[in-house]
Amino acid sequence: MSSAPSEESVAARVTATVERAIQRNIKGLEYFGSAAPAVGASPRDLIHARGTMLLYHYRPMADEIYRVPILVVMATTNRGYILDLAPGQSFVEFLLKRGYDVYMLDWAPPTAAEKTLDLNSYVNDFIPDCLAKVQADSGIEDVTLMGYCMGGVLSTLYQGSHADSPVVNLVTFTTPVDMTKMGLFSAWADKRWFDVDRLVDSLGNVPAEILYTSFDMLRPASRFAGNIRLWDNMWSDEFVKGYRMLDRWGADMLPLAGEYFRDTTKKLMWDNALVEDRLEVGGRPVRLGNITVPFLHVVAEHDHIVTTEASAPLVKLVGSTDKEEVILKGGHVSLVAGANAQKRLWPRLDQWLQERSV
Amino acid sequence: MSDAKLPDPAAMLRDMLGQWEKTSNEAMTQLMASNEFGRAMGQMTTMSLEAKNNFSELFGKVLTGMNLPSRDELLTVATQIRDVDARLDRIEALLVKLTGASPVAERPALPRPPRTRKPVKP
Repeated sequence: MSSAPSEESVAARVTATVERAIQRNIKGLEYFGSAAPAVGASPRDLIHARGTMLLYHYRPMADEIYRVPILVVMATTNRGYILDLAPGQSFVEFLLKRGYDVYMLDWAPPTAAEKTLDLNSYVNDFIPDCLAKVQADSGIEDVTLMGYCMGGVLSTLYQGSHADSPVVNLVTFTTPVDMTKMGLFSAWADKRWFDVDRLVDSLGNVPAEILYTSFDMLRPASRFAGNIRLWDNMWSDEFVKGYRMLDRWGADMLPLAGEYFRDTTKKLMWDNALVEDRLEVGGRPVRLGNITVPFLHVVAEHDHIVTTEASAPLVKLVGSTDKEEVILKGGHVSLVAGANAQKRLWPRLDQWLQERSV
Repeated sequence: MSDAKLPDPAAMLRDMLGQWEKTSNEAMTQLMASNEFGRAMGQMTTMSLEAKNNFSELFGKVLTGMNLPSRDELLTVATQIRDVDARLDRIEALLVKLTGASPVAERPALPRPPRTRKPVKP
């Protein structure tokens, strides 16, 4: 039989609730008057830039580093600072402190003149160019290639079509290959009513607003619920800071080069040519079976953007004998950033990379 | 001190919000996956973008009349600056090739730790 709550416990609960309500109002006012928190915290140097392509080198944070440098390829729709949010919450900082030499291929918004960049430009020009720069800068021939989301697709396409690649390890996060399983994206991009030619021909580059709206529509109720949660947690500086950083990143999307968008829609979405083993990029056949380097694919169990069904065939189809798929709790973003990533992905990745980076 | 037996209305509301979010997302996802929605979305996207494009063209003519540069013209200048940058990069790369100088010589003196780190034994 349960006893009635004591007077003290009721008083304590009321005091805490009132205190939070006061804090919520005070901090709520501060929220609207303050600047968003800074992101992209780790010191880095831009070592190579060519139009939309930006190659950064992060300054080492350990006294002794692993021999093999890492080149991180960011998704073409988003800014790379999701991987370097703030000190103590940065994936890049974690890697640097664990003794890795980290480079990042990040993207600037493509200009109107860059609408002609296509899949071939990204796979057979930008990635090999950056790999060569990493080799020259580090003085090391071998490189670990690591891609997030569409960056993972580009890394996979590169490695599956370049027999002479200097890549010795391939790591991909939330990387789709079976585009028929991309949920709402597959439905919206259906060739029966999605006229990609008309879109690209009339606009040149695909504006970031379209992409942002599409991503937002995947979970239409979540923005409203997120705002309620923000208000509920307004008393907590940590929560508000984390929310603002992620919200800023989510809204800070990049336009896509027109021909690149046309190529990805036709070759990857409509033809599903990668998983069906008949993809060609710039005249080069791309075969997942040609990937023979050690391979790690990390997937998020609750990813609402890249479904687990869309990424599932990747590990099966790559030709490597040393290959592994790790499914971790979390969503598309929380897999790589935030408290969930710190606890799950980062240590797991470090464990995998260590012995393959000497 | 908290009391586990004491009902917490705020926690109940949070649970309800989570449930509402999940159910609404699922219902709307189902709706948006339909052929009708896809067709309507495709038509609306194209129409609204074309309207936006036409408006930009019209606004461009107004700016020309006012002797002001349009966004596209500013972007063209930005592109030209980038092209000059790219050309400088190519010239620099050529110079590095011809002279054998280090391409990283211009970077500030960075700590270059030895690449001798070994895996931590489990």
